[in-house]
Amino acid sequence: MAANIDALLPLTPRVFYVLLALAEEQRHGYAISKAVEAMTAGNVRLTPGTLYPLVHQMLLDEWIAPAAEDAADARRRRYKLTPHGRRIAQAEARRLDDLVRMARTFKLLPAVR
Amino acid sequence: MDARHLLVHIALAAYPRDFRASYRAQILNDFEESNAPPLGSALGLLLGGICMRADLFARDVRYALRRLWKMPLFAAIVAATFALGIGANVAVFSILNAVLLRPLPYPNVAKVVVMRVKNSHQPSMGTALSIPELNDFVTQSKTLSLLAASALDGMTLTGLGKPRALIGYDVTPNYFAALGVRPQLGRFFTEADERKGVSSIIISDRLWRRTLGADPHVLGRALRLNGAAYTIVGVAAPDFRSPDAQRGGLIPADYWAVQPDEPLPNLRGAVYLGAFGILRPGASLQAANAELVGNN
Repeated sequence: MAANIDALLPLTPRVFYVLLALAEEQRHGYAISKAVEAMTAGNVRLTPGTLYPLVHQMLLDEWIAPAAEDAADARRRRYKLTPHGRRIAQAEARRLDDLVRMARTFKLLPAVR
Repeated sequence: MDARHLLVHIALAAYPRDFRASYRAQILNDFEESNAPPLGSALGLLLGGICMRADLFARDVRYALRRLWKMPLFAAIVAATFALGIGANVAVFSILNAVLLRPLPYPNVAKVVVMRVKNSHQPSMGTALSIPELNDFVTQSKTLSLLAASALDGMTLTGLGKPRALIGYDVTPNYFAALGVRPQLGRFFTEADERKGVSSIIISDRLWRRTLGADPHVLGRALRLNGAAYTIVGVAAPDFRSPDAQRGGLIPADYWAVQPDEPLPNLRGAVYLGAFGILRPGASLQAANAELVGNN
């Protein structure tokens, strides 16, 4: 499984933001785009035209799943991370962490004390 | 339904059907909750749909290519089948296009009437005309003017390297004028070319380029054909072909010559003229048909 996940990396920033938003809690579509907007200080805006194709693909790939309890409300369907999606998000986070550490080693970023 | 809903519904049409069914309600809800300008958001939605379609298409193409890559023999057979099919279609269409679909390449084409003589042995095509028959029409027709005729001929060119067999047409002096075409060099025939002792010839662009080196001073030069000297008076346009109802098509001849106007025996059985006329102003094809049939 680990090798499979590595083949999926790197994720596009938008996909990673959606995974981050769902890592915190279950959210419906509009709440996801609001959360991403908040975590990026308004720099990344997921419009319905970009968000829902991503959601659709992530559902097909089983990175996310509908949250069971309110699946009946078609207008505000909520989504949650699957264990597989969580592993992918973690793998991407580790990849980014490695890169940042390397940047520190080569003095592109100040060392952490 | 308000304007915003309408725009969203229109933009959603860009998405695959199953996607629309799953997400329409959520997307409408998001548009209601956000205060984004309706037109801009709808355009964004539309763009997203187009991107999604393009992405799905790219996936299909990649999948197809991967499958083909794994089956090279099958891929080669498919490619060869396509190549043969396309090739055969192109070949047939080129002929159909030239013979049936494209109008004949003459400015006067709308007014040209081809004349044939009824013949029970060749009911569909009829036969060519004899010189006396053509003369009858020239003197009597009230619907057709500029009655022109041509007869396929061949002569041997000597004196310019190896002797060459040329194909050409003996034509009436008004032949090119009736078709309405212009030469690229020199002039086409006039009545004066019919006088005894005058041997004028018009050559094709191909003969001019291949045998005479596209010489710009070619007018007035003599060509030796069947041992006699013919003076070049014109060069036909590069794309000029002779209409030939007898052979059914446009024939790329090497030359066009005028035979001297000599009294000929009254041979109505010697039918070899491809003849055509130009409808007079105000005359219809029906009128010309009626007149010609009446003459028979």
